[in-house]
Amino acid sequence: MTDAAILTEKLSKHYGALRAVHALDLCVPAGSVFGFLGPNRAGKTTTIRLLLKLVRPTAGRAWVLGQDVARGSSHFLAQVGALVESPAFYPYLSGRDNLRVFAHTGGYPDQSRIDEVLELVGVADRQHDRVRTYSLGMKQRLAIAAALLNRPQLLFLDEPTNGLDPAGQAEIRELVCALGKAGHTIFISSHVLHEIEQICDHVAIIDRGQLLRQGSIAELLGEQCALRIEADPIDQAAAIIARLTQVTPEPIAANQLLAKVPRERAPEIVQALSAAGVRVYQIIVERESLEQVFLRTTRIEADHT
Amino acid sequence: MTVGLLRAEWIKLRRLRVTWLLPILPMVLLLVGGVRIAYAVAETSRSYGLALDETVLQSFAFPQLLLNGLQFVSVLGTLLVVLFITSIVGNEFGYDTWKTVLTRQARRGHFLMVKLTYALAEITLTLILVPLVFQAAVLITLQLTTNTALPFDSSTNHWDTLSITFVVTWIRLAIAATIGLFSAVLTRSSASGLALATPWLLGDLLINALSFGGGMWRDLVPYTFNYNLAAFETYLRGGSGEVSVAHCLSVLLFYTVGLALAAVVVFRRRDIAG
Repeated sequence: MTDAAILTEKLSKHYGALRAVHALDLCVPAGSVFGFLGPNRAGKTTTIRLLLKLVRPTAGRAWVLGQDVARGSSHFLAQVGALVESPAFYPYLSGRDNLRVFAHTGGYPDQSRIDEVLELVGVADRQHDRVRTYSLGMKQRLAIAAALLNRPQLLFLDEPTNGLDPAGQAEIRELVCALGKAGHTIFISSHVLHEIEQICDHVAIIDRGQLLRQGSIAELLGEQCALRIEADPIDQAAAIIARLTQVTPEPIAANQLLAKVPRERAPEIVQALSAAGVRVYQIIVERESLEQVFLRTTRIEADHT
Repeated sequence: MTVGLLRAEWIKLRRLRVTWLLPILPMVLLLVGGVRIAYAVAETSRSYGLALDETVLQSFAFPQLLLNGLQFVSVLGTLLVVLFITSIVGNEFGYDTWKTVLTRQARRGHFLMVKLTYALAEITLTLILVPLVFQAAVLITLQLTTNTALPFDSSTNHWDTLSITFVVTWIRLAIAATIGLFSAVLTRSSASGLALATPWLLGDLLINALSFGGGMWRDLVPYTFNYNLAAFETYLRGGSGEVSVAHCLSVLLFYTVGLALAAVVVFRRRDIAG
Protein backbone atom coordinates (compact mmCIF):
# COMPACT_ATOMS: atom_id res chain seq x y z
CA MET A 1 0.00 0.00 0.00
CA THR A 2 2.98 2.29 0.57
CA ASP A 3 3.74 2.39 -3.18
CA ALA A 4 0.16 3.20 -4.10
CA ALA A 5 -1.01 6.79 -4.15
CA ILE A 6 -4.59 5.52 -4.48
CA LEU A 7 -5.90 2.13 -3.53
CA THR A 8 -9.51 1.02 -3.48
CA GLU A 9 -11.06 -2.19 -2.27
CA LYS A 10 -14.51 -3.14 -3.56
CA LEU A 11 -15.39 0.56 -3.64
CA SER A 12 -19.03 0.99 -4.59
CA LYS A 13 -21.54 3.76 -4.99
CA HIS A 14 -25.11 2.81 -5.79
CA TYR A 15 -27.99 5.21 -6.31
CA GLY A 16 -30.95 2.91 -5.80
CA ALA A 17 -30.77 0.33 -8.58
CA LEU A 18 -28.13 2.31 -10.47
CA ARG A 19 -24.60 1.06 -9.85
CA ALA A 20 -22.58 4.20 -10.54
CA VAL A 21 -19.44 2.47 -9.25
CA HIS A 22 -19.37 -1.20 -8.31
CA ALA A 23 -16.70 -3.19 -6.46
CA LEU A 24 -13.85 -1.13 -7.82
CA ASP A 25 -10.36 -2.41 -7.01
CA LEU A 26 -8.03 0.26 -8.22
CA CYS A 27 -4.31 0.68 -7.63
CA VAL A 28 -2.62 3.89 -8.73
CA PRO A 29 1.16 3.67 -8.30
CA ALA A 30 2.77 6.65 -6.59
CA GLY A 31 4.52 8.91 -9.09
CA SER A 32 2.57 7.59 -12.06
CA VAL A 33 0.54 9.49 -14.60
CA PHE A 34 -2.58 7.36 -14.43
CA GLY A 35 -5.23 7.48 -17.12
CA PHE A 36 -8.73 6.62 -16.05
CA LEU A 37 -10.69 5.71 -19.16
CA GLY A 38 -14.30 5.03 -19.76
CA PRO A 39 -17.20 6.01 -21.99
CA ASN A 40 -19.64 8.66 -20.84
CA ARG A 41 -21.52 7.68 -17.65
CA ALA A 42 -18.98 4.93 -16.94
CA GLY A 43 -18.49 6.13 -13.35
CA LYS A 44 -15.22 8.07 -13.76
CA THR A 45 -16.39 11.27 -12.09
CA THR A 46 -18.22 9.40 -9.34
CA THR A 47 -15.00 7.53 -8.56
CA ILE A 48 -13.10 10.82 -8.32
CA ARG A 49 -15.82 12.28 -6.07
CA LEU A 50 -15.61 9.18 -3.86
CA LEU A 51 -11.84 9.54 -3.57
CA LEU A 52 -12.19 13.22 -2.65
CA LYS A 53 -14.83 12.60 0.03
CA LEU A 54 -17.46 14.53 -1.89
CA VAL A 55 -19.61 11.42 -2.09
CA ARG A 56 -20.03 8.71 0.55
CA PRO A 57 -19.42 5.14 -0.61
CA THR A 58 -22.21 2.58 -0.41
CA ALA A 59 -19.60 -0.10 0.30
CA GLY A 60 -15.88 -0.74 0.15
CA ARG A 61 -12.88 1.26 1.18
CA ALA A 62 -10.38 3.63 -0.34
CA TRP A 63 -6.98 4.94 0.66
CA VAL A 64 -5.54 8.12 -0.76
CA LEU A 65 -1.89 8.88 0.02
CA GLY A 66 -2.08 6.16 2.65
CA GLN A 67 -5.10 7.59 4.48
CA ASP A 68 -8.39 5.79 4.78
CA VAL A 69 -10.81 8.10 2.97
CA ALA A 70 -13.97 6.96 4.72
CA ARG A 71 -12.71 6.53 8.26
CA GLY A 72 -9.61 8.64 8.59
CA SER A 73 -9.19 12.37 8.80
CA SER A 74 -9.09 14.65 5.79
CA HIS A 75 -5.45 15.66 6.09
CA PHE A 76 -4.68 14.06 2.74
CA LEU A 77 -6.70 16.80 1.05
CA ALA A 78 -3.88 19.24 1.87
CA GLN A 79 -1.66 17.25 -0.52
CA VAL A 80 -4.31 16.85 -3.19
CA GLY A 81 -5.33 19.15 -6.04
CA ALA A 82 -8.46 18.49 -8.04
CA LEU A 83 -10.36 19.57 -11.07
CA VAL A 84 -13.66 17.71 -10.87
CA GLU A 85 -15.85 17.63 -13.97
CA SER A 86 -16.62 21.10 -15.36
CA PRO A 87 -14.80 24.05 -13.80
CA ALA A 88 -16.82 25.76 -11.04
CA PHE A 89 -16.21 29.33 -9.92
CA TYR A 90 -17.93 32.34 -8.39
CA PRO A 91 -18.83 34.14 -11.62
CA TYR A 92 -19.11 37.58 -10.00
CA LEU A 93 -15.49 37.43 -8.77
CA SER A 94 -12.35 37.91 -10.83
CA GLY A 95 -10.14 34.96 -11.68
CA ARG A 96 -7.62 36.13 -9.11
CA ASP A 97 -10.25 36.58 -6.37
CA ASN A 98 -11.53 33.08 -7.06
CA LEU A 99 -8.04 31.73 -6.50
CA ARG A 100 -7.76 33.84 -3.32
CA VAL A 101 -10.98 32.27 -2.04
CA PHE A 102 -9.64 28.76 -2.69
CA ALA A 103 -6.23 29.60 -1.23
CA HIS A 104 -7.71 30.98 2.00
CA THR A 105 -10.09 28.04 2.21
CA GLY A 106 -7.21 25.59 2.02
CA GLY A 107 -5.05 27.61 4.41
CA TYR A 108 -2.30 28.53 1.93
CA PRO A 109 -2.91 32.21 1.14
CA ASP A 110 0.40 32.78 -0.64
CA GLN A 111 -0.07 35.60 -3.16
CA SER A 112 3.12 34.80 -5.04
CA ARG A 113 1.90 31.24 -5.61
CA ILE A 114 -1.31 32.69 -7.09
CA ASP A 115 0.81 34.79 -9.48
CA GLU A 116 2.85 31.70 -10.33
CA VAL A 117 -0.08 29.43 -11.22
CA LEU A 118 -1.87 32.16 -13.15
CA GLU A 119 1.29 32.62 -15.21
CA LEU A 120 1.71 28.87 -15.61
CA VAL A 121 -1.73 28.33 -17.15
CA GLY A 122 -1.70 31.54 -19.17
CA VAL A 123 -4.51 33.45 -17.48
CA ALA A 124 -2.37 36.17 -15.89
CA ASP A 125 -3.43 38.87 -18.36
CA ARG A 126 -7.15 38.30 -17.61
CA GLN A 127 -6.81 37.69 -13.86
CA HIS A 128 -8.71 40.85 -12.86
CA ASP A 129 -11.68 40.20 -15.17
CA ARG A 130 -14.78 38.59 -13.78
CA VAL A 131 -14.95 34.86 -14.41
CA ARG A 132 -18.38 35.24 -16.04
CA THR A 133 -16.58 36.86 -18.98
CA TYR A 134 -14.18 33.92 -19.44
CA SER A 135 -14.51 31.36 -22.22
CA LEU A 136 -14.82 27.68 -21.29
CA GLY A 137 -11.17 27.17 -22.20
CA MET A 138 -10.08 29.97 -19.86
CA LYS A 139 -12.21 28.58 -17.06
CA GLN A 140 -10.60 25.21 -17.64
CA ARG A 141 -7.14 26.77 -17.35
CA LEU A 142 -8.15 28.64 -14.22
CA ALA A 143 -9.47 25.40 -12.72
CA ILE A 144 -6.12 23.75 -13.36
CA ALA A 145 -4.43 26.75 -11.73
CA ALA A 146 -6.72 26.32 -8.71
CA ALA A 147 -5.83 22.64 -8.51
CA LEU A 148 -2.12 23.47 -8.50
CA LEU A 149 -2.33 26.16 -5.79
CA ASN A 150 -1.19 23.93 -2.94
CA ARG A 151 1.65 22.25 -4.87
CA PRO A 152 -0.19 18.93 -4.67
CA GLN A 153 1.48 15.59 -4.37
CA LEU A 154 -1.53 14.00 -6.07
CA LEU A 155 -3.48 15.75 -8.78
CA PHE A 156 -6.94 14.70 -9.98
CA LEU A 157 -7.79 16.02 -13.42
CA ASP A 158 -11.23 15.14 -14.72
CA GLU A 159 -11.37 15.77 -18.48
CA PRO A 160 -8.79 18.58 -18.23
CA THR A 161 -8.70 19.45 -21.94
CA ASN A 162 -12.46 19.88 -22.34
CA GLY A 163 -13.22 23.12 -24.14
CA LEU A 164 -9.61 23.85 -25.04
CA ASP A 165 -8.43 24.53 -28.56
CA PRO A 166 -5.75 22.20 -30.01
CA ALA A 167 -2.94 24.52 -28.89
CA GLY A 168 -4.42 24.67 -25.39
CA GLN A 169 -4.78 20.89 -25.29
CA ALA A 170 -1.13 20.50 -26.24
CA GLU A 171 -0.10 22.97 -23.52
CA ILE A 172 -2.05 21.05 -20.90
CA ARG A 173 -0.50 17.78 -22.07
CA GLU A 174 2.95 19.33 -21.73
CA LEU A 175 2.06 20.62 -18.28
CA VAL A 176 0.83 17.21 -17.16
CA CYS A 177 3.97 15.55 -18.52
CA ALA A 178 6.16 18.09 -16.72
CA LEU A 179 4.28 17.56 -13.45
CA GLY A 180 4.57 13.81 -13.89
CA LYS A 181 8.31 14.07 -14.47
CA ALA A 182 8.60 16.22 -11.35
CA GLY A 183 7.32 13.26 -9.32
CA HIS A 184 3.65 14.22 -8.86
CA THR A 185 1.09 11.47 -9.11
CA ILE A 186 -1.53 12.46 -11.65
CA PHE A 187 -4.91 10.78 -11.94
CA ILE A 188 -6.41 11.93 -15.20
CA SER A 189 -9.80 10.88 -16.44
CA SER A 190 -10.63 11.26 -20.07
CA HIS A 191 -12.21 9.66 -23.06
CA VAL A 192 -9.74 11.32 -25.44
CA LEU A 193 -7.68 8.18 -25.88
CA HIS A 194 -4.79 9.46 -27.96
CA GLU A 195 -4.23 12.08 -25.28
CA ILE A 196 -4.03 9.45 -22.56
CA GLU A 197 -1.75 7.29 -24.70
CA GLN A 198 0.63 10.23 -25.07
CA ILE A 199 0.87 11.30 -21.45
CA CYS A 200 0.07 8.34 -19.20
CA ASP A 201 2.21 5.45 -18.08
CA HIS A 202 -0.62 3.51 -16.40
CA VAL A 203 -4.29 3.18 -17.28
CA ALA A 204 -7.50 1.68 -16.03
CA ILE A 205 -10.63 1.13 -18.09
CA ILE A 206 -14.00 1.39 -16.44
CA ASP A 207 -17.45 0.87 -17.90
CA ARG A 208 -20.88 0.86 -16.23
CA GLY A 209 -19.22 1.35 -12.87
CA GLN A 210 -16.97 -1.68 -13.14
CA LEU A 211 -13.25 -1.90 -13.64
CA LEU A 212 -12.48 -3.83 -16.82
CA ARG A 213 -8.71 -3.55 -17.07
CA GLN A 214 -5.80 -1.85 -15.40
CA GLY A 215 -2.06 -1.92 -15.85
CA SER A 216 0.83 -0.14 -17.43
CA ILE A 217 0.37 1.22 -20.93
CA ALA A 218 3.19 -1.06 -22.11
CA GLU A 219 1.38 -4.14 -20.74
CA LEU A 220 -1.97 -3.21 -22.21
CA LEU A 221 -0.64 -2.30 -25.61
CA GLY A 222 1.74 -5.23 -25.75
CA GLU A 223 -0.76 -7.95 -25.08
CA GLN A 224 -2.24 -8.01 -28.58
CA CYS A 225 1.02 -7.73 -30.45
CA ALA A 226 1.49 -9.06 -34.01
CA LEU A 227 4.43 -9.38 -36.37
CA ARG A 228 4.06 -8.27 -39.98
CA ILE A 229 6.60 -10.19 -42.00
CA GLU A 230 7.61 -9.66 -45.62
CA ALA A 231 9.45 -12.71 -46.90
CA ASP A 232 10.00 -14.86 -49.99
CA PRO A 233 8.85 -17.54 -50.54
CA ILE A 234 5.89 -16.62 -48.37
CA ASP A 235 4.28 -20.09 -48.23
CA GLN A 236 7.43 -21.62 -46.86
CA ALA A 237 7.71 -18.76 -44.33
CA ALA A 238 4.10 -19.34 -43.17
CA ALA A 239 4.74 -23.05 -42.69
CA ILE A 240 7.91 -22.43 -40.65
CA ILE A 241 6.18 -19.84 -38.44
CA ALA A 242 3.17 -22.10 -37.87
CA ARG A 243 5.41 -25.00 -36.90
CA LEU A 244 7.51 -22.82 -34.59
CA THR A 245 4.78 -20.84 -32.81
CA GLN A 246 1.69 -23.04 -33.17
CA VAL A 247 -0.04 -19.95 -34.59
CA THR A 248 -1.23 -19.90 -38.17
CA PRO A 249 -0.18 -16.61 -39.81
CA GLU A 250 -2.65 -14.74 -42.00
CA PRO A 251 -1.57 -13.66 -45.48
CA ILE A 252 -2.26 -9.91 -45.79
CA ALA A 253 -0.58 -9.02 -49.10
CA ALA A 254 1.77 -10.42 -51.69
CA ASN A 255 4.80 -11.76 -49.79
CA GLN A 256 3.37 -10.43 -46.50
CA LEU A 257 1.78 -12.20 -43.57
CA LEU A 258 0.64 -11.32 -40.11
CA ALA A 259 1.50 -13.57 -37.16
CA LYS A 260 -0.18 -12.86 -33.81
CA VAL A 261 2.76 -13.71 -31.62
CA PRO A 262 4.58 -11.73 -28.93
CA ARG A 263 7.30 -9.30 -29.92
CA GLU A 264 9.86 -11.38 -27.99
CA ARG A 265 9.60 -14.22 -30.54
CA ALA A 266 10.71 -12.08 -33.48
CA PRO A 267 14.47 -12.95 -33.32
CA GLU A 268 13.68 -16.67 -33.09
CA ILE A 269 11.39 -16.47 -36.14
CA VAL A 270 13.92 -14.49 -38.19
CA GLN A 271 16.61 -17.01 -37.29
CA ALA A 272 14.41 -19.98 -38.28
CA LEU A 273 13.44 -18.36 -41.59
CA SER A 274 17.05 -17.51 -42.46
CA ALA A 275 18.21 -21.00 -41.57
CA ALA A 276 15.59 -22.41 -43.96
CA GLY A 277 16.80 -20.14 -46.75
CA VAL A 278 13.74 -17.86 -46.71
CA ARG A 279 14.63 -14.28 -47.59
CA VAL A 280 13.27 -11.84 -44.97
CA TYR A 281 12.81 -8.30 -46.31
CA GLN A 282 11.22 -6.70 -43.29
CA ILE A 283 9.64 -7.55 -39.98
CA ILE A 284 7.43 -5.00 -38.20
CA VAL A 285 6.04 -5.27 -34.69
CA GLU A 286 2.42 -4.15 -34.84
CA ARG A 287 0.60 -3.13 -31.66
CA GLU A 288 -2.94 -2.09 -30.97
CA SER A 289 -3.46 1.54 -30.22
CA LEU A 290 -5.00 2.44 -26.87
CA GLU A 291 -8.19 3.21 -28.75
CA GLN A 292 -8.28 -0.34 -30.13
CA VAL A 293 -7.60 -1.81 -26.67
CA PHE A 294 -10.33 0.39 -25.20
CA LEU A 295 -12.90 -0.47 -27.86
CA ARG A 296 -12.07 -4.17 -27.71
CA THR A 297 -12.32 -4.20 -23.90
CA THR A 298 -15.57 -2.28 -23.67
CA ARG A 299 -17.13 -4.30 -26.55
CA ILE A 300 -16.20 -7.60 -24.91
CA GLU A 301 -17.83 -6.36 -21.70
CA ALA A 302 -20.92 -5.21 -23.60
CA ASP A 303 -21.16 -8.61 -25.32
CA HIS A 304 -20.91 -10.36 -21.96
CA THR A 305 -23.72 -8.32 -20.47
CA MET B 1 -8.20 27.21 9.18
CA THR B 2 -11.41 28.91 10.33
CA VAL B 3 -9.72 32.31 9.99
CA GLY B 4 -8.92 31.32 6.41
CA LEU B 5 -12.56 30.36 5.86
CA LEU B 6 -13.72 33.69 7.29
CA ARG B 7 -11.40 35.55 4.91
CA ALA B 8 -12.46 33.44 1.95
CA GLU B 9 -16.13 34.06 2.76
CA TRP B 10 -15.54 37.79 3.07
CA ILE B 11 -13.95 37.94 -0.40
CA LYS B 12 -17.17 36.40 -1.73
CA LEU B 13 -19.62 38.38 0.41
CA ARG B 14 -18.30 41.86 -0.21
CA ARG B 15 -18.99 41.49 -3.93
CA LEU B 16 -22.56 40.22 -3.46
CA ARG B 17 -25.43 42.72 -3.59
CA VAL B 18 -27.50 40.68 -1.17
CA THR B 19 -24.85 41.26 1.53
CA TRP B 20 -25.56 44.98 1.57
CA LEU B 21 -29.32 44.68 1.26
CA LEU B 22 -29.95 43.93 4.95
CA PRO B 23 -28.34 47.07 6.39
CA ILE B 24 -29.02 49.42 3.48
CA LEU B 25 -32.66 48.78 2.53
CA PRO B 26 -34.16 49.35 6.03
CA MET B 27 -31.82 52.30 6.53
CA VAL B 28 -32.88 53.99 3.31
CA LEU B 29 -36.59 53.36 3.97
CA LEU B 30 -36.34 54.63 7.54
CA LEU B 31 -34.29 57.66 6.52
CA VAL B 32 -36.69 58.65 3.79
CA GLY B 33 -39.76 58.00 5.97
CA GLY B 34 -38.29 59.57 9.13
CA VAL B 35 -37.01 62.70 7.47
CA ARG B 36 -40.32 63.19 5.62
CA ILE B 37 -42.33 62.80 8.83
CA ALA B 38 -40.04 65.15 10.78
CA TYR B 39 -40.19 67.66 7.96
CA ALA B 40 -43.99 67.41 7.75
CA VAL B 41 -44.37 67.91 11.51
CA ALA B 42 -42.07 70.92 11.40
CA GLU B 43 -43.93 72.36 8.41
CA THR B 44 -47.32 71.93 10.12
CA SER B 45 -46.13 73.60 13.33
CA ARG B 46 -44.56 76.44 11.36
CA SER B 47 -47.61 77.06 9.20
CA TYR B 48 -49.86 77.32 12.29
CA GLY B 49 -47.21 79.32 14.18
CA LEU B 50 -47.30 76.87 17.09
CA ALA B 51 -44.50 75.30 19.09
CA LEU B 52 -44.17 71.54 18.83
CA ASP B 53 -46.54 69.66 21.06
CA GLU B 54 -44.95 67.83 24.02
CA THR B 55 -46.40 64.47 22.90
CA VAL B 56 -44.93 64.95 19.44
CA LEU B 57 -41.58 65.88 20.95
CA GLN B 58 -41.59 62.77 23.14
CA SER B 59 -42.36 60.55 20.17
CA PHE B 60 -39.24 61.84 18.42
CA ALA B 61 -37.04 61.79 21.52
CA PHE B 62 -34.66 59.14 22.78
CA PRO B 63 -35.26 56.20 22.86
CA GLN B 64 -38.58 56.09 20.98
CA LEU B 65 -37.11 56.34 17.50
CA LEU B 66 -34.50 53.71 18.29
CA LEU B 67 -37.32 51.38 19.39
CA ASN B 68 -39.30 52.18 16.24
CA GLY B 69 -36.19 51.54 14.19
CA LEU B 70 -35.63 48.16 15.86
CA GLN B 71 -39.25 47.18 15.30
CA PHE B 72 -39.06 48.13 11.65
CA VAL B 73 -35.85 46.14 11.17
CA SER B 74 -37.46 43.22 13.01
CA VAL B 75 -40.21 42.98 10.38
CA LEU B 76 -38.33 43.76 7.16
CA GLY B 77 -35.07 42.27 8.42
CA THR B 78 -36.60 38.81 8.92
CA LEU B 79 -37.20 38.46 5.20
CA LEU B 80 -33.88 40.06 4.26
CA VAL B 81 -31.93 37.75 6.58
CA VAL B 82 -33.60 34.71 5.03
CA LEU B 83 -32.83 36.07 1.56
CA PHE B 84 -29.20 36.64 2.55
CA ILE B 85 -28.48 33.25 4.05
CA THR B 86 -30.39 31.20 1.48
CA SER B 87 -28.50 33.10 -1.24
CA ILE B 88 -25.01 32.54 0.16
CA VAL B 89 -25.62 28.86 0.89
CA GLY B 90 -27.69 28.18 -2.25
CA ASN B 91 -25.11 29.93 -4.47
CA GLU B 92 -22.55 27.29 -3.57
CA PHE B 93 -24.94 24.61 -4.84
CA GLY B 94 -26.00 26.71 -7.83
CA TYR B 95 -22.45 27.50 -8.96
CA ASP B 96 -21.37 23.94 -8.05
CA THR B 97 -18.52 25.42 -6.03
CA TRP B 98 -18.92 23.07 -3.07
CA LYS B 99 -16.87 20.51 -5.01
CA THR B 100 -14.04 23.02 -5.34
CA VAL B 101 -13.97 24.27 -1.77
CA LEU B 102 -14.74 20.98 0.01
CA THR B 103 -11.75 19.31 -1.64
CA ARG B 104 -9.54 21.82 0.16
CA GLN B 105 -11.01 21.62 3.63
CA ALA B 106 -13.38 18.81 4.37
CA ARG B 107 -14.89 20.01 7.64
CA ARG B 108 -18.23 20.79 6.14
CA GLY B 109 -19.73 22.12 9.36
CA HIS B 110 -17.14 24.90 9.41
CA PHE B 111 -18.37 26.25 6.09
CA LEU B 112 -21.93 26.56 7.36
CA MET B 113 -20.84 28.02 10.69
CA VAL B 114 -18.79 30.68 8.91
CA LYS B 115 -21.80 31.64 6.79
CA LEU B 116 -24.03 31.76 9.87
CA THR B 117 -21.41 33.86 11.69
CA TYR B 118 -21.52 36.45 8.92
CA ALA B 119 -25.32 36.47 9.00
CA LEU B 120 -25.29 37.04 12.77
CA ALA B 121 -22.62 39.73 12.47
CA GLU B 122 -24.68 41.46 9.82
CA ILE B 123 -27.78 41.25 12.00
CA THR B 124 -25.90 42.81 14.92
CA LEU B 125 -24.46 45.58 12.78
CA THR B 126 -27.84 46.33 11.22
CA LEU B 127 -29.61 46.44 14.59
CA ILE B 128 -27.04 48.89 15.93
CA LEU B 129 -26.54 51.10 12.91
CA VAL B 130 -29.98 51.42 11.36
CA PRO B 131 -31.90 52.69 14.44
CA LEU B 132 -29.02 55.04 15.34
CA VAL B 133 -28.88 56.56 11.89
CA PHE B 134 -32.69 56.85 11.87
CA GLN B 135 -32.74 58.60 15.24
CA ALA B 136 -29.89 60.93 14.26
CA ALA B 137 -31.43 61.82 10.90
CA VAL B 138 -34.80 62.73 12.43
CA LEU B 139 -33.19 64.78 15.20
CA ILE B 140 -31.04 66.69 12.75
CA THR B 141 -34.03 67.34 10.48
CA LEU B 142 -36.11 68.64 13.38
CA GLN B 143 -33.23 70.71 14.70
CA LEU B 144 -32.69 72.28 11.29
CA THR B 145 -36.36 72.90 10.50
CA THR B 146 -37.79 73.94 13.88
CA ASN B 147 -34.74 74.92 15.91
CA THR B 148 -36.25 72.94 18.77
CA ALA B 149 -34.07 71.05 21.21
CA LEU B 150 -35.56 67.60 21.83
CA PRO B 151 -35.80 66.30 25.39
CA PHE B 152 -33.20 63.67 26.24
CA ASP B 153 -34.09 61.42 29.12
CA SER B 154 -31.40 58.80 29.59
CA SER B 155 -33.00 57.07 32.58
CA THR B 156 -32.27 53.40 33.27
CA ASN B 157 -35.83 52.43 32.27
CA HIS B 158 -35.25 53.55 28.71
CA TRP B 159 -31.98 51.66 28.45
CA ASP B 160 -33.67 48.52 29.82
CA THR B 161 -36.50 48.78 27.30
CA LEU B 162 -34.01 49.36 24.53
CA SER B 163 -31.76 46.46 25.56
CA ILE B 164 -34.66 44.02 25.84
CA THR B 165 -36.06 45.05 22.45
CA PHE B 166 -32.58 44.73 20.94
CA VAL B 167 -32.07 41.23 22.39
CA VAL B 168 -35.50 39.98 21.33
CA THR B 169 -35.14 41.43 17.82
CA TRP B 170 -31.67 39.92 17.54
CA ILE B 171 -32.99 36.48 18.51
CA ARG B 172 -35.88 36.81 16.05
CA LEU B 173 -33.50 37.58 13.19
CA ALA B 174 -31.07 34.85 14.32
CA ILE B 175 -33.95 32.36 14.17
CA ALA B 176 -34.78 33.58 10.66
CA ALA B 177 -31.11 33.00 9.77
CA THR B 178 -31.05 29.42 11.07
CA ILE B 179 -34.37 28.61 9.38
CA GLY B 180 -32.92 30.01 6.12
CA LEU B 181 -29.70 28.05 6.59
CA PHE B 182 -31.51 24.78 7.26
CA SER B 183 -33.90 25.32 4.34
CA ALA B 184 -31.10 26.08 1.86
CA VAL B 185 -29.08 23.03 2.94
CA LEU B 186 -32.14 20.82 2.79
CA THR B 187 -33.28 22.00 -0.65
CA ARG B 188 -29.79 22.64 -2.11
CA SER B 189 -30.92 25.84 -3.76
CA SER B 190 -31.37 29.54 -3.02
CA ALA B 191 -34.82 29.77 -4.56
CA SER B 192 -36.14 26.55 -3.02
CA GLY B 193 -34.59 27.46 0.31
CA LEU B 194 -36.39 30.79 0.20
CA ALA B 195 -39.59 29.03 -0.87
CA LEU B 196 -39.36 26.76 2.18
CA ALA B 197 -38.21 29.31 4.76
CA THR B 198 -40.71 32.07 3.94
CA PRO B 199 -43.88 29.99 4.48
CA TRP B 200 -42.24 28.56 7.60
CA LEU B 201 -41.84 32.05 9.05
CA LEU B 202 -45.29 33.14 7.94
CA GLY B 203 -46.80 29.89 9.19
CA ASP B 204 -45.36 30.54 12.62
CA LEU B 205 -47.04 33.94 12.67
CA LEU B 206 -50.28 32.47 11.34
CA ILE B 207 -50.44 29.81 14.04
CA ASN B 208 -50.04 32.56 16.64
CA ALA B 209 -52.87 34.53 15.07
CA LEU B 210 -55.16 31.50 14.74
CA SER B 211 -54.44 30.33 18.29
CA PHE B 212 -56.72 33.07 19.62
CA GLY B 213 -59.59 31.06 18.16
CA GLY B 214 -58.57 27.99 20.18
CA GLY B 215 -58.60 24.43 18.80
CA MET B 216 -55.52 22.71 17.48
CA TRP B 217 -53.77 26.04 16.94
CA ARG B 218 -53.88 26.63 20.66
CA ASP B 219 -52.06 23.30 21.17
CA LEU B 220 -49.49 24.11 18.52
CA VAL B 221 -48.70 27.65 19.50
CA PRO B 222 -46.38 26.83 22.47
CA TYR B 223 -43.95 25.33 19.94
CA THR B 224 -43.75 28.39 17.71
CA PHE B 225 -40.83 30.75 18.05
CA ASN B 226 -42.95 33.93 17.95
CA TYR B 227 -44.99 32.78 20.93
CA ASN B 228 -41.91 31.82 22.93
CA LEU B 229 -40.09 35.01 21.98
CA ALA B 230 -43.04 37.00 23.30
CA ALA B 231 -43.00 34.95 26.50
CA PHE B 232 -39.25 35.43 26.80
CA GLU B 233 -39.67 39.19 26.37
CA THR B 234 -42.33 39.20 29.08
CA TYR B 235 -39.95 37.42 31.45
CA LEU B 236 -37.17 39.85 30.63
CA ARG B 237 -39.53 42.73 31.46
CA GLY B 238 -40.28 41.14 34.81
CA GLY B 239 -43.68 39.64 33.99
CA SER B 240 -44.75 36.03 33.82
CA GLY B 241 -45.92 34.16 30.74
CA GLU B 242 -48.17 31.20 30.03
CA VAL B 243 -45.19 28.87 29.61
CA SER B 244 -42.24 28.33 31.92
CA VAL B 245 -38.91 30.03 31.29
CA ALA B 246 -37.35 26.59 30.77
CA HIS B 247 -39.93 25.75 28.09
CA CYS B 248 -39.50 28.99 26.20
CA LEU B 249 -35.70 28.81 26.39
CA SER B 250 -35.77 25.20 25.16
CA VAL B 251 -37.92 26.12 22.17
CA LEU B 252 -35.75 29.12 21.35
CA LEU B 253 -32.62 26.96 21.65
CA PHE B 254 -34.18 24.45 19.26
CA TYR B 255 -34.87 27.17 16.69
CA THR B 256 -31.34 28.61 16.97
CA VAL B 257 -28.72 26.04 18.00
CA GLY B 258 -30.89 23.01 17.16
CA LEU B 259 -31.65 24.06 13.60
CA ALA B 260 -28.04 25.13 12.97
CA LEU B 261 -26.81 21.72 14.15
CA ALA B 262 -29.48 19.97 12.07
CA ALA B 263 -28.25 21.90 9.02
CA VAL B 264 -24.68 20.76 9.72
CA VAL B 265 -25.77 17.12 10.13
CA VAL B 266 -27.76 17.18 6.87
CA PHE B 267 -24.89 18.88 5.03
CA ARG B 268 -22.28 16.44 6.33
CA ARG B 269 -24.34 13.52 5.06
CA ARG B 270 -25.04 15.12 1.68
CA ASP B 271 -23.37 13.79 -1.44
CA ILE B 272 -21.89 16.59 -3.49
CA ALA B 273 -22.69 14.72 -6.65
CA GLY B 274 -23.12 17.52 -9.18
